[in-house]
Amino acid sequence: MWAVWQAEAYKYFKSKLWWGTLLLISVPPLLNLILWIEHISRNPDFVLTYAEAMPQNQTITALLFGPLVLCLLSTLSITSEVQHGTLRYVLTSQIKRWELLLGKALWVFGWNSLLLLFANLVNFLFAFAIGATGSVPIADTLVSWLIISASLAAMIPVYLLISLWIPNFFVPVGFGLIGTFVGLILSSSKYITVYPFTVSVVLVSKALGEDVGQELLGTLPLWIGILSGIGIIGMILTAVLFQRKDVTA
Amino acid sequence: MKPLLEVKRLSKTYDGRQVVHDLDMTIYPGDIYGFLGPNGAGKTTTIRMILGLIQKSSGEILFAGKPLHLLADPYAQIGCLVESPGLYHNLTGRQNLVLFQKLRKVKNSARIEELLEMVDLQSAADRKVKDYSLGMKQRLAIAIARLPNPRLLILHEPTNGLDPAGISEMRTFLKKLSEQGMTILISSHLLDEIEKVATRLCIINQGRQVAEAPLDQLLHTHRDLELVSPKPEALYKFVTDWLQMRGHTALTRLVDGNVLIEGFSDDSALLNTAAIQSGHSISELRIKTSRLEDMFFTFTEGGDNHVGRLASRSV
Repeated sequence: MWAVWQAEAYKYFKSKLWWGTLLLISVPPLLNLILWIEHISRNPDFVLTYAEAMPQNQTITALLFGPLVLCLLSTLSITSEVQHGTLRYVLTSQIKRWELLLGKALWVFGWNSLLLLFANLVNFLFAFAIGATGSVPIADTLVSWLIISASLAAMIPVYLLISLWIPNFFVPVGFGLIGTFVGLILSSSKYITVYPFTVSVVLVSKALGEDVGQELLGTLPLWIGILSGIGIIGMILTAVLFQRKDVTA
Repeated sequence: MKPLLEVKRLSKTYDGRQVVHDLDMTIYPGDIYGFLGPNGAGKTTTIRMILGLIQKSSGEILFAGKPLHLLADPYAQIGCLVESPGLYHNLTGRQNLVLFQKLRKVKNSARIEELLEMVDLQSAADRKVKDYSLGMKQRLAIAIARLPNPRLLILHEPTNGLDPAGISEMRTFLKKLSEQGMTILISSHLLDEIEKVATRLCIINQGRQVAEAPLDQLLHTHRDLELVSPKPEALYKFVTDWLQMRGHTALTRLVDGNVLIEGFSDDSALLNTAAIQSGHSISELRIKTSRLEDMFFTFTEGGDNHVGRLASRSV
């Protein structure tokens, strides 16, 4: 499994893909920057605080860009193997099938989490550049970052499974896009707190310690537990199905 | 000598349709084992079952006497090139080797240079694979297959898409590997090439094995005898009766005014004596050595009945 993780990292950093994902995840802080500049141009007295800057970035990252990058990374980790005809060689190396899946899933989870952290960093840098005041909410940022990363991870096995069965880049990505945009539309609803495509605003707000109202059932650990359960069960199911699958690609 | 790889009664069924029927293969250390069959005969399925890419429906695959699936690390002993070289095109040749070195858990970093030298890719090692010729890709794929220094190399259609120079290069390379003691299972449509390198042969047709034996033994068994006579019709009748009387099943035909007996040569002196004693005149007696191509078509044309008859001839 560690060998797969290492190989994925090696492949990734030797390709241009990592620049692409860095750019994509930098879009939310860039949108924030544009928004703040617009505010300043309309109201010269506008003063941004780091505490205000953080949730604006986390929300758009959690709802749209985080899920999109995760979908791209998960899908490409399988479809590029099929496209290059390397899957059969990876499977006939000393790697067991479950190791391959888990190694790829952990790589996607790890790298996607780092990208989300990077987005936060860029967001604070932009805020600093336009003269944000107050202290940087490090603890809140880290908590919400952990929640977003963990919540998004629930979808990794689903994308891996779809990519293995239909190894066409556009199928899992199309599926992910539809799910993400549906999530985006419904994101303020309490009913999609555990919607796995995207992280609910309610969940992020809860993570940030905001009052989300009495209608939110359960507690934060419960929601994280449910999403983790979806991820773990999905991973086991994917591994069991893949173990029995004939690889003809 | 103990076989390195044994396949016993291997079968595969897809949706109720059996594509491989009770296949047996025995590969000894040092063999270059030719695995032949027409398109759709079940070669790819068989090779993929050996490599664990496809689940077998029944049968056994033994490596050095032990069931392959029970070995702790079976694919440390087996390298493969299946149909096309699977390489990361955006990486260089060396980077591909480094990546597979990680996946194959090979610790020795000097192995990469050793393999690049072996496949003569040192000068191109830092070029991206997408700029390689097909021959270079095939050689790099073989280098990757040899990373863990396997005992068995499985090459499925390694000459696919290669030009004559590439094919000749591949042949030389295989011979070199064999001289180094590598056991090779090779499947190819280029029968001439297989004939030049193989030591043992397995032919399958419609998922069934029709022959498995050392190549020279198979070619010897399938030599034809041609008799030239001024009265070929009379000689033909005599030969047919004589063969029938002695219980031979060899097929006799009149070809271009000569009598041709397929797969018959060992008793040629006896037949000659009997014909002369019966008053037939034989002006010339030729033993025609079969080529693998002739033998292949004999085995693979004619459907199941033919297969059944020929299977009994296999050694």
